[in-house]
Parts: sequence; structure tokens; C-alpha cells
Amino acid sequence: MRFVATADWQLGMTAHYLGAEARPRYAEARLEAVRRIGAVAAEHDAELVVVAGDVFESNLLDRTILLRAFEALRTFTVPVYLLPGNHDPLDAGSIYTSELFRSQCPPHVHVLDRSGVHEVAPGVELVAAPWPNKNPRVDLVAASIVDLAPPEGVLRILVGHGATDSLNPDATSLATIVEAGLTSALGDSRLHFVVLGDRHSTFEVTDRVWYPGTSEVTARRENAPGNVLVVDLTPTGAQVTPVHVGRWRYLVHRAPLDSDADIDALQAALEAMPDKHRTALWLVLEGTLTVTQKARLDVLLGDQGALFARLGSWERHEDLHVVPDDADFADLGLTGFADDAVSELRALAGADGDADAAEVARNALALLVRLSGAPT
Amino acid sequence: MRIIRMRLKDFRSIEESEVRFDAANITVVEGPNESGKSSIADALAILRLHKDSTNKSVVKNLKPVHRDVGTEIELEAQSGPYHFTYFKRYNSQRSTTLSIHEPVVESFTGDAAHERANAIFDETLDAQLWDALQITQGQSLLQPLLADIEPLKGALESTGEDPGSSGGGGLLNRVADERLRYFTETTGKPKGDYAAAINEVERLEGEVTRLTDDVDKADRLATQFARNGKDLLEKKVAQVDKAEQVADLEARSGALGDLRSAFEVAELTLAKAEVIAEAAASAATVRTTLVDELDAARVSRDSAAGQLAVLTTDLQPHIDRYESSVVTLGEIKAVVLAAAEASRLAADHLSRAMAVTDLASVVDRLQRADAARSEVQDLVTYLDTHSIDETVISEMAAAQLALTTAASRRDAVAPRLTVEQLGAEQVTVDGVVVDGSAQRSVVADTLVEVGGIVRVRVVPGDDAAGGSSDVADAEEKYAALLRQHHVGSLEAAQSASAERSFQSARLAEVRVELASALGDSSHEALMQQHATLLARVGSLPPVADDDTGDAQAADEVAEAAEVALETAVAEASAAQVEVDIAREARDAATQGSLRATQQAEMQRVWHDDLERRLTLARKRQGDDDVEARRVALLTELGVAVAGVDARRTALASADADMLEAELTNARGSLARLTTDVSDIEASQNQLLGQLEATGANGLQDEFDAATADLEDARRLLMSTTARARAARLLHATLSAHHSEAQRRYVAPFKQAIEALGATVFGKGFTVAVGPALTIDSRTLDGKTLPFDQLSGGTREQLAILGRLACAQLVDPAEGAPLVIDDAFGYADDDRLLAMSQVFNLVGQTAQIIILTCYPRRFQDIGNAHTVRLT
Repeated sequence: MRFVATADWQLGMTAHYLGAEARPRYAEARLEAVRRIGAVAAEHDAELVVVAGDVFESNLLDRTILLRAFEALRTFTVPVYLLPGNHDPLDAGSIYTSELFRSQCPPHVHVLDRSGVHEVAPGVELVAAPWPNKNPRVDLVAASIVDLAPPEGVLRILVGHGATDSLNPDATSLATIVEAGLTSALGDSRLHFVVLGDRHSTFEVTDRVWYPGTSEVTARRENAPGNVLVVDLTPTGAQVTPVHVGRWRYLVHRAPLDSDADIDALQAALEAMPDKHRTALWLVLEGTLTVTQKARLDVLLGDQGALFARLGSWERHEDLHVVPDDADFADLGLTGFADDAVSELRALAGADGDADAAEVARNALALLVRLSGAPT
Repeated sequence: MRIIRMRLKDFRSIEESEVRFDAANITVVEGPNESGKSSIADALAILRLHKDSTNKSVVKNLKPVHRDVGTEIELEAQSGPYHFTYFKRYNSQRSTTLSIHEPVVESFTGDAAHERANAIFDETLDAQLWDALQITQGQSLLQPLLADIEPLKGALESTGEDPGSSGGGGLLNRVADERLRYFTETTGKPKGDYAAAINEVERLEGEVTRLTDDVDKADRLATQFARNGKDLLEKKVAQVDKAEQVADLEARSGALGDLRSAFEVAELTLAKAEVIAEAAASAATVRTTLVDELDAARVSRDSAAGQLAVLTTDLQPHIDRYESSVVTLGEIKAVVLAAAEASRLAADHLSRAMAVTDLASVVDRLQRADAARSEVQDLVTYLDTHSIDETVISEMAAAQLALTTAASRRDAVAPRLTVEQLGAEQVTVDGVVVDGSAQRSVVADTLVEVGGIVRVRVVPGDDAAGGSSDVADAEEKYAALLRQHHVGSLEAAQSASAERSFQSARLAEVRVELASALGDSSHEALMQQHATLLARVGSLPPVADDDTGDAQAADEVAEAAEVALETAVAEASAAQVEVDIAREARDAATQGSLRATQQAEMQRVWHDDLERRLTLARKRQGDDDVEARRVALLTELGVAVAGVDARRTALASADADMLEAELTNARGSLARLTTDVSDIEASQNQLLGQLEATGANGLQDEFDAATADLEDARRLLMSTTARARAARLLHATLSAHHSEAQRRYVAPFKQAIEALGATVFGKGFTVAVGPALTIDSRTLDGKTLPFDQLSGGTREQLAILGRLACAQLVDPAEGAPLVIDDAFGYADDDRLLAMSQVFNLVGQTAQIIILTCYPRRFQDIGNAHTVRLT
């Protein structure tokens, strides 16, 4: 039996760290990724698609996202099973119980809106652990399998959402999924495969317990986003194949900057990057530049910034210093009072103590360079 | 640049003229108007600016009139390292040559010559300096534009500093513009994009806060819904349980029905027995009360009747006393009336007696007054007709004495005539026959005649005549007095005067008598009094015929009558008091009697009514029967009470109350649960509606969009703030240094002007020099005036001093000749001399060319070389 496992579509998510121009493209990209999942299912002759939670970013979305999601899901040729997760729980305001969902949902799309076993095809059962609200205070997965007995001639796939106890940084969370229970259930064939959502990077917990991760990257820290899993399942084992469907990239680029040559290198690296319009880049710049070089860097980043979905420094990690250098001002031919002013500002810029005042002074010097008409 | 030689040919009216400037630093070119002085300045400009091929009118106009020849300009000069001769011919046979003699000999022609010359000028001559040092005709009052002259700036920088260096002035403007992009000029508050970015961040922060609240609210709604759902489920389960409990209790309650029926019958029987027994007891009480009331009414009735009898008896003495007192009062009132009449009569009597007495007195006084008045009238008449009094006597005696005196005086001066009759002849004096002799004083013409013999007229002298006249006057006066008073002589007059005195004394006496008779009254008043008294006596009849009108007696009688009247009135008053007291006593007794009568009647009626009612009641049922019924029914009630108690005990033992209470409570609980379920369901529906609406509105989208916008706005604000602060700091720093540099830069130029100007204006001379190196004001001996308000002469001198300072400061190798075309038209001789000294000083290092048609103005410049044009 073959099926496609995916999770964390986060439809309707707004990437606030992107530029205003890129945001609608990014939102559309998440829907495009859904379409590609349908294509992957068809391509691999999968029987069904399970989505392990967080199909939607929130229950409070404008309902038009449903229409667009259904439009994408209509391209699927196999049944699709949606699990409510912590972002879109089955609470009273759930998007899954809204009038629009009920009336517009395509017939091959199903919501796993009940904890426990759902027979989805002859010989195939899904065990669902939907989130009833945002704060369940219980291991929903364990609750969903507590009464299960080993089935006869049926393959059981558990679809759950949340962090397992080996992954969850918050070990005290009551909703943490206890891995031992899953291992036990897999061991005595009450279950045959476990698909989990919540972790956005593709992750193999055990050979039959997987996080597919999000289908399109959502955050810089994700190390393996943009994948779905094509799972070939037998009563005795599973063959899991990640397939990349994401198109966007969130990258961190480190660059030492101490000279014009370093700036040249950065420029070359930026220019060489493919698909800039689908790439968000966090720069970690380290080094010391002159005012003139800094001005040049600013121009470079300004120009390239227009090409990328996002281009900016990762300020928390940046360690770039600007030190006014004699060469900065030699070419300007400044004499007299302007020269005196430069001296004062340079002293201010290099002064220990008030970092903020030094920063303002450096900016003032850069502005002076710019207004003096020097080449940058 | 330094001009060595200048040659012009066929230049306007000049056929050919060459001027050399190398004899001294200062060259004064003299010549009358139109001798071509200004042409030298013009030619320098034309040679430098225009190619020989030009057709511009300024060049074409150089051609001499009526001659078709080319205009030639030749300049030999030293500029920087170059020593060269530059020649151009314009308009005809055009040609340009440049021969460079130093540092390397070179030669150029045509445009190449023009270009090379321009290159030399550009390299070695500052165009602005050149322009600044040319003073053309009529421009000498204007200050040159010195601020941007590089050689001057270089010179000033060597001592001071240039605030506009390296385009610094422009830079400052650009920086100021940059600052103005972010801050208002005066208050320095954020504006434009900067202000907008700040406002946008604030707005979005508010928006995000609001939306965060809204999202939280939606979460709370969902949580509330879930909690309600749990409650609802519990309540519904409880509802089912409670319904079962109610059904069970109702079944148990049904089994107790029979027992409860018997109890209810007993309760009804008891209730009935209670009512009947109560009625019998009430009837017995009513009867007893009626009997008691009748007894009491009888006693009251008899008592009231007795009281009435006593009061009726007591009433008569009060009535008798009152009537008796009324009679007594009537008698006393009659006595009073009689006494009053007697008193009135006595008073009348007294009054008449007094009037009679008064009348007699008045009659007496009137008689005396009338007599006196008559005599007074007679005496007054006498005195009016006899006017001779002591005064008249004195007057007459004086007139008589005057007559006697006048006669004596006349006689004393009159001649004495003595006639003695000597013969028989009748002798007469004034017709009077003289008998013997006659002697007389001649006081008037006297005629002595002897009949027929002689007539002697004796005429007295003037003295004698005068004396006679005085005597006549005195006689006349005296006689007039006697005539006036109708007396013949003084003696007679004296007798009359004595009589008048006597009568006058009598008049006084009689008037005293009259006043005495009248007293304080006038005669008329006395007459009126008399008439009044007469009438009064007439009106009061005499008491008796023998009434003498004795007032004393009448007075005594009247007094006795008054005393009798007062006594009678006092008695009447006492009698009246007695009447009032008796009346009040009688009235009080009457009232008491009336009340007693009413009371007796009321008691009688009440008694009769009770008696009637009791009689009727006894007719229906005797007193004994009433009591017997009461006792019998009381016994029946006791039996009924016992019956109820017995059945209640039976019910209680069956725990019916507890069962009922349980059932009632169970029913209440069920109803409450039903209500709760209904309420919660309604609340859930409402919550669902709210949640559906909240979800459908896309709250999360709004929140995400606002958050993203806020991040954008914050990034924009951060970068804008950085730029704004940089611009502000840069502007502040540059401005501060600019101001400081300006102050330093201007100083050497100012010093140069003041050093030169001290010669012209004296030691108290200073100037204020602006950033553009213009003289803004002059201070002389502590008095400061702006440049524009100075006199024409002073302005011209200051403007030229500025140029001289410039020429002096500029490095000679970079300098240009100071060319002055016709100046100092405003200067007096002292100033001219002083300026000449300044020229001489500056001329030690700088080339100065002065073009003038007034040679005298510059004759005092010591080291000048003079060239005369004709």
C-alpha cells in the first residue's frame, strides 16, 4: 500500500519578515506546493494523502483561503485526509466546522474530526488524533490508541500532531507524545506507521515514525523543509521516500567583510544565487569596513535587495564594524572647516562608550561621503 | 599677470598708440575724454575673449569710421612663468599670433594661438580675480565679488581659513537640505517621511494591540464554548437522573392517598366543629354582655335623673339674685340722673353769675375809654392848631435880638443931624415940624425945610445907608415870624407857648387813662366781649327771680352738686358689677341644668334600647338555653380535635411529609436543570455565532497583515531614524565648524582693509567683513554705519580699498593688474592724498593701472609712471 504523508501546510500564513512585494507571492507558493503534492500522489500511484495537522495557519483566517485551498485540492486524484492540529483545532470556532467548509469541501477531501479509527479503504485504517482545542493537556495520540486491538489483515496508519518526548524542548507539556507508546503499538502491530505533524523539517523518529515536515519552508531555522513522504507500507515494514516539493529557500549567508575584495566576493555570491525572487537571505556579516566601503556595501545590498524576496542582515549574529579611514576622505578633497567637521565626527565614531552616538557619527560620515559626491 | 606693453592700431578713433607699463608698478594713463584710455581696458577683454574671426558687434564696432582697415591689438605680458606677445587683427585681414618668449620659445598662429593663449590665461590667471580688479567707468562704487577668487582664498588660507573651501559651502547647503528632509527648520521636529514613519509605527502598534486582543478574545470564546459544552453534558445527564427520581417519588406518593383522605375528612370535621362551637360561644358571650350592659345603663339613667333634679333646684336662687340686682341698678341709675340734672343747673347758674360780673366790668371800662378818647381828640386838635412851642420862641427871640443889634449898628455909623429952630420960621424935618430942636441920626435922605426959605437934603453916607438896609431885613424877618404864628409880639408868643405846654401834658395823662381802661384789649375787642357777655347773660335764665348773679354763691352750689353726682355714679358702677356676677352665675347654672337634662335623656334612651334588645333576644332563646348550647358544642369540638390528631399521627408515622418534600424538591431540581440546559444551549448558539463571525472575518489575516506592516514600518523607521540622526549630526557639526572657520577666514582680509584704510580714515577705522568678503559696515571713532548708508565718496574709497587689499594679499605670481578706469570723482583733496599713499603702498607688490582724464587726482602717487595719451 502506498500513500503520501505530508503536514504543516500552514495555508494562509503571512511571512511578516518578507518584503511587502514578496508576501502575496509566498502565500501563493504555499498553495502551489499543495498542487504539487497532488501531482506527486498521482505520479507515485499513491492511494491516499494524509495531512498530519496544521493544514491551516489559524482558525481565524478569512474564509477565502478555504476556496483557494479547495481549488488546489480539486487537482488531487486520490482521497485526502486532513487532521486538525494545534493551529487549526476542532474547537467551536474551527475552520473545519464553518459553514463554508461544510458546503464547499470537495467530496474526496475528509476531515479526521474524531479521535480513533477511520476505515478509509478496504484493508486500510487511519487512527486519528485530532486536536480538540489549542491546549488539550493530554497525549492525544496515546488517547487515540488506548483501546486498539491488533487488526486482522488491515494496515493501520496513525495520524497525529505534536512533539514527541524526545524532541519536545518542553518536557513538562501534557500534550507531549510519548514515543514509548508508539513503539509499543508498532511492536505489537496495533499500528503499522505513524505520521506526525508539527515539526516543519522532515525528520525520521524511527523507521516507521516520521515527521514529513512542511511542504514549503516557513522559517529560517528549518533545516529540511519543503518535502513530502511517499510511503510504501507493508505489514512488516515501510519504505519512506522524501520528495521535495517546495520552491522557496530561506538561507543564511555568512560573509567576512574586511576589504573591497570581500565586498566583491559577497557581490559575486549574491549575483550567483538562483531564484532570488523565491529566496529569503539572512546575511551574517563580520569584519571591519571603512566608511566608503560601508557605503558601497549599502548600495550593493540595496540593489540586490530589490531582487530577493528578502535580503537583510541577521542582526543578532552580525558583527560588522565601520571605522572611518583617512582614505575615506582623502578623495573628497575636503579642507578647512569640512575637514575639521570630519575630524570631530571621526573622533565621535571611534569613541568608546556611547555606542549609539558612535553609530550616528558613522552614519553622518557616510552621509558626508555621499553628499560630497565621492564615488561609492 | 603683469602687462608689459599694449599697442592698439585702428582701434575706434585711435590710429595707433602704444603704452608701456613696465617702468613702474603703478602706471597712470592720462588723457582727455575719447583719447582712448578706456580702450586699453576694453582691448584687454576683447583680445582675451574673442577670436579674430568673430563677427560680433562689439568687435565690428572697433573699426574706425570711413576706413576699411583691420583693428589691431597687441599685448605683451608676463603671466605665471610665461612671457609672451599676443597679437590679433580683427574685422579685416584677420590674424592671430602668439609668441612665447619664456620659459620656452614657442610660436602659434590662428586658432592655435588663441587656444594656447587661453590655456595660458586659464593656467595662470584667475578669471574672477581679473574681473574683480577691473574698475570700469561708473562702477567704482560697487564692491567686487571676492568670495570665490581662488588666489585670494589661497592667500587667506595661508593666514586664515576658507569656509567655502573645496565646495564646502555647497556641501553645507546639501547637508542642510538633507537635514530638512527629516526635520523642520525652526523647531527641529520630525517631518515628512520621518514623521510619517513615526506615526505609522504608532498607528500599527495600536492596530496590532487591538488585533491581539481580538484574537485572544476569539480564543477565549472557543474556550468558553468548550467549557459550556462540558457543563451542558453534565447537566443533561443530571436532568435524566432527576426525571427518574421524580417518577419514583410520585409512585410512592400515590400509595399514601387513602390515609391522606381520612386525615382530610377529619380535618374538615374539625374545622366545621370549630366554627359551630365558636358561634355558640360567641352567642353566649353576646347574651352575657347584653345583660351586663342593661344593668349598667339602668344605674346610669337613674344617676343622671337625680343629678338633673339637684341642678334644677339650685338654679332658682341664681335667677332671683340676678333679677334683684337689676332692680337695684335701675334705682341707682335714677338717682344718678337727678344728680346730673342738679349739677348741670348749678353749673349754668355759676356761668351766668360770672358773665354778669364780667359784663359790668366791661361796661365800666368802655365808659372810661370813651371819655378819655374824646378828651384826647380835643387835645390833639388844640395842639395841631397852636404851633408856638419852645423852638418857635427861641427863633423869635433871636430875630428880635438881630433887629436890635442891626439898629444899634446903623445908628452908630449914621451922621447925627441936629436941627435947631432959630427963628420962627417953621422948620420941618421930613415934613415934621421941629419944635425947638430936633436931633436924629440920618439913616435916610432927610429933608430939612424952612418954609419958603430953605430946603436942606441930608443924604446919609454909604455906611449909614447899608446899616438901614440890614435893619430893614431884620425887621422883616422878625415881622414874618410874628405873622406866621399869628402873634403881635414876642411876649404874646411866649404866653401862647406856655399854654401849649400845659395842654400837651394833659394829653399824656388822658392817654394813660385810655390805656388803663382798655387794658390788653382793643376797643373793638372790648365791644365784642361786651356783646358776647350780653348775649350769654341773656341766654342763661336766672335761677330765681331774686337771682343776684352772685358768682361766689353759685360756685359753692355747683361744687356741692358735682360731689353728689360722683357719689351716685360710683354706686351705679357697683350695682352693675353685681348684675354681671349674678348673670354669669345664673347662666352657668342654666347650662349645667341643660346638660344634665340631655344626659338623663341619653341614658334613658340607651337603657330602653338595651332593654328592648334583651327582651327580643330572650324571646328567641332564654339565657339558660344559650349557655347550655355553648357547653354542648365545646364538647363536640374536643371530639373532632382528637379525631384529627389521631389521623395526623397515622400520616406522620407513614413519613408522608418527607416524601412530599423530597418530591417537591426533586421536581424543582428537574425544572432548574431544564432551564439551565436551555440557557446553556442558547449561550452556546450565541457563542457559535460569534465564533463563526470572528473566523469568517479573517481576524488572523488582519493580525498577520498588521504585524507584517508593523515590522516593515519599524524597519523603515529604524533606517529613516538612522538617516535623520546622521543628517542632523552632520549638519550640526558642519555648521559649527563652518561658523568657526568663517570667523577665522575673514580675519586677515579685514585686517588688510583696516591697515590700508587707517591711512585714509584714521586710527579709529574698522570694518565688518561678511562671509562673501564684502564690507558690510564701517566703524569710525565708535560710530558704525552699514555700507549702503555711507556717502558715495566713502563707498567708493572702501570698494577700492577692498580691491587694493585683494591685490595686496594675492601672490604676485598669481595676481592680475588692478585697472582703475576713472575713479575718485567723489573724493576731496585730503582723501585723494591719503588714497595716493595707499596706492603707493600696494603698488610696491601689485601692478596698478590707472586710467584718468583728471591727472591732478593722481598726481600725489609717488612711485607712479605717467603716460599721456593725446
